[in-house]
Amino acid sequence: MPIDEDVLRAALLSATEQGCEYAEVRWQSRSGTSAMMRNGEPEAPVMVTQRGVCVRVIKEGALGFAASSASDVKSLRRLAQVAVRNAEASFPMLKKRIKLAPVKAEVASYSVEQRIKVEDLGIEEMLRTLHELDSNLTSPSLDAKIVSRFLRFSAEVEDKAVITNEGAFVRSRTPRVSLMYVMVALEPGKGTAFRYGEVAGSGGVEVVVYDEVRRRVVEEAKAMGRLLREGRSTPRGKVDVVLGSEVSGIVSHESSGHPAEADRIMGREGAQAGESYLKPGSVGAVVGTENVTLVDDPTIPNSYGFHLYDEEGVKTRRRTLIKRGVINEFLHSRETAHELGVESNGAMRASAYDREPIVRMSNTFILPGDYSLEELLKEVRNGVYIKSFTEWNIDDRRFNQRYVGLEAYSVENGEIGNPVLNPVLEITTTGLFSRVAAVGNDLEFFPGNCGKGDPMQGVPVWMGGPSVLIEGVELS
Amino acid sequence: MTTELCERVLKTVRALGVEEAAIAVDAEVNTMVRFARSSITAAKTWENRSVSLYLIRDGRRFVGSFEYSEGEDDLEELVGRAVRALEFAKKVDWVKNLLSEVRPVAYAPPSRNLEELVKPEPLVRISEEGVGAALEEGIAYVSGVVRGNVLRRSLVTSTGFVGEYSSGFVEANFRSFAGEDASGQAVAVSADPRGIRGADLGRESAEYARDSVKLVDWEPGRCTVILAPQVLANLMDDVVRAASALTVDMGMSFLCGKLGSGVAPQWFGLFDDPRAQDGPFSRPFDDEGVETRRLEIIDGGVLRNYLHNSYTAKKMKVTSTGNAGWIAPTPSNVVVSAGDLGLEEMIGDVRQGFLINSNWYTRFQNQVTGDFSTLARDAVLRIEGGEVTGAVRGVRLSHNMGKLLENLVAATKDRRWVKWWEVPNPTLCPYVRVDGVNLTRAQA
Repeated sequence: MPIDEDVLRAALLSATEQGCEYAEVRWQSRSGTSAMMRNGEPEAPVMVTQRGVCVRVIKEGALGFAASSASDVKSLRRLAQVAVRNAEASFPMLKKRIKLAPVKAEVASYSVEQRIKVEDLGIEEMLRTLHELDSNLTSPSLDAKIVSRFLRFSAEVEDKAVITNEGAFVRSRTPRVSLMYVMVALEPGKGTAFRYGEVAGSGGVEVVVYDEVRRRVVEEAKAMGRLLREGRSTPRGKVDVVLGSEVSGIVSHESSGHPAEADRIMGREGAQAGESYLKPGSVGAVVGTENVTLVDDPTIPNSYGFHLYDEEGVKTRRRTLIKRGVINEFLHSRETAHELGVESNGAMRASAYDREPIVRMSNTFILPGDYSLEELLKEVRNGVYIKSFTEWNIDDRRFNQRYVGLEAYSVENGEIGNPVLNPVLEITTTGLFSRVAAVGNDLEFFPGNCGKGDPMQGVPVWMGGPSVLIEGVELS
Repeated sequence: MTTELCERVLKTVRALGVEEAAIAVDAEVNTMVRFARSSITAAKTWENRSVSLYLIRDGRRFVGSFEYSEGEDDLEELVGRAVRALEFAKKVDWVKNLLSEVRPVAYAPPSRNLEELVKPEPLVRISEEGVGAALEEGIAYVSGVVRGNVLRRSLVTSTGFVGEYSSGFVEANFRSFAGEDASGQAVAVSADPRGIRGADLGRESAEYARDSVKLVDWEPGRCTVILAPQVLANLMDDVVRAASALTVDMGMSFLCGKLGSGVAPQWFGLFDDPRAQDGPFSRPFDDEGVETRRLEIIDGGVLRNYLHNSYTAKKMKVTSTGNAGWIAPTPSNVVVSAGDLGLEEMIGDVRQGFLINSNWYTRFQNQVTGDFSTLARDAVLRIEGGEVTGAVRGVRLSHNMGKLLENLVAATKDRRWVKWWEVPNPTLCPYVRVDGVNLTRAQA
């Protein structure tokens, strides 16, 4: 149910009449359905609609924000007053006045195309799909005992309208689909292995190709069974490691995307998601080898992080965060762009109407190189191929990280050998990027819901990359 | 008004043939003041009003939620859509009489005035006091957040239960920075805003930051750690999740099959206390109208109970513990038992070890085995011969949750309520000493 433009303009007018130098009004609606199945038993389906309006103002350099699920003109005029009151209440502790970098006032409207509409995807069909997938995981021919399974099929439509007192007015409609799976493999006398995976994108139901998901999940289940039966301990000493696309994807997101968020660099997330090992003057700093070029690109069609304009109405574009091993640019809002004397590159996102926009990633990945996976493996005399991961974390400056491999194999003289149990790569960001010796051509993406902000905001992203060869690291 | 809306929706779904239903209407207001590098970056208010439905018919269950305000004309359409969706849920033979088997208790709301909690000016004052006190300690700057919350909930069920309650809290998080990567944190949450003393929190975070400036060497390996309340609260969040009957039923918990077994030393207790007088999330009834009660999750070191709603209870042939969540059972106020030591005394007892001020990014390698790691954050103080001798950086606890519980050694008698970005449920925690914790660090 799109909101009337006049209602948004009434809220905008109310804010500007109270002396704000900047005002922005956003209506946002997310309506979605999830079907779930655990261990073959259907869980109650869930249908959620979040909808409402927010007003964000800057008055004398102070930022006030107010949001409400009520969206009539009277409520929105009151909401504008609440936002202004919040800005004014900040004056006693306002040491730095917020200013915004100038931008072109964009007027645009776009919808992500769907071949099979998510609105037509019924709970019955979702459950049928999950049941079919589940039966594949309990098949006696699987060669792995998957003792615990949780499956979720979700579809949603997000509608937005953003209007500013500078003349921007952007409307969008983005459907999204996701199929998520969690499974535990058990091998008596050997132990268990735990896997979380997801396939997701923006667009119609067709963006999740079920046959491909089933093939992937079954292959992963079989690999977990083999891992438990045949897995050996991680080789000691310095080894070469090939990180598969899923692992290079999480590395791109955690170790390059997050530290490049300019709001962190300027300290704005200091008490929550943290600051960054990168500083305002880090553009031009060498952090990796020439093989590492890493981008964040919201414009990839059907990607999970797809959007063409951000929540400030700024047109987005591909951002090259690391170019040939050198920090090239940060992810910016208009506020951080002003502080650092550059133009905004449109990175402001909000997960819902009741959240302020903050600097976010979209689809973050290492650009592919020339090597096939086989060629990368041929370069390894003694090492490990880590195809997927389980546990991971990184410190709040985004410098000290840990990835624990799930599906992993030894590599000797270029040949894949036995499975390896829980190889742990614990390394610094520059330590990792400065050991990238070669980059594959097998670019692949994996979805995630990136968490940041206070209150917490999870936004859909893709993380990806090709396989990459890391030389001379110690695993534990 | 909210109860009338609940009853209106209940009448509609009953007329459409729904056998059992719980309808909740929530009106929630939050105001948050965020500051970074000692300056306010945003002051925010968000008001949400939602209708949530739990519908059961013929072995089928459905959960729906939508935001709705007076004057909007699509209530019937949204409710009708939910009931139609129920048709397509899958039937589970034993799902019937879930709500009628619980014993609802009506409850009258308190008359407490909660409006003060969500005004921006008092929250700014707390922020100012904290930042001012921290800066007086000579640190570089302070970042943080102060938030006020008010929730009014109405619930009606098809068994005739009608209940309302109001709750509210103020939470504060101060993080002081004393130089490159030298920081300290102090947090608090209280149902009574007078319980949040900004100056004390600011000063405490500054002292931790100052103490973490002088760096000393350290070696990875197994050693003794003292975990501050916010670290223990973060880890207990995962323990409580593992004790949820839903997690156990899925077979994805390290506490599977351990009911009645010793999982921690005898002095250790972990509880859900929804009736705690000072509990920020106190609630008189759960989402199914079941009267809440104090639940012993771990008592005397023994795993006593899983958290249940009516669905998990019926499946496991027990009674609900009053922890619904329509899908996942949930806690209200998590409480860890107190010990008998003072903090100085606890530090004095440690020959070689570390005191960890805060943590973040706890992730499991395998939820069934309980293998996990988490990053120490803010001050990590080296203890030698019972005294703090300096600070270290880059510490990761790479351990196992079951072993961590087993290796608890002692707790302080003083506890504090913790709730912040990494601790979603308010948790009352002491400092605890744990022996034999595996610490690792990154290669350069």
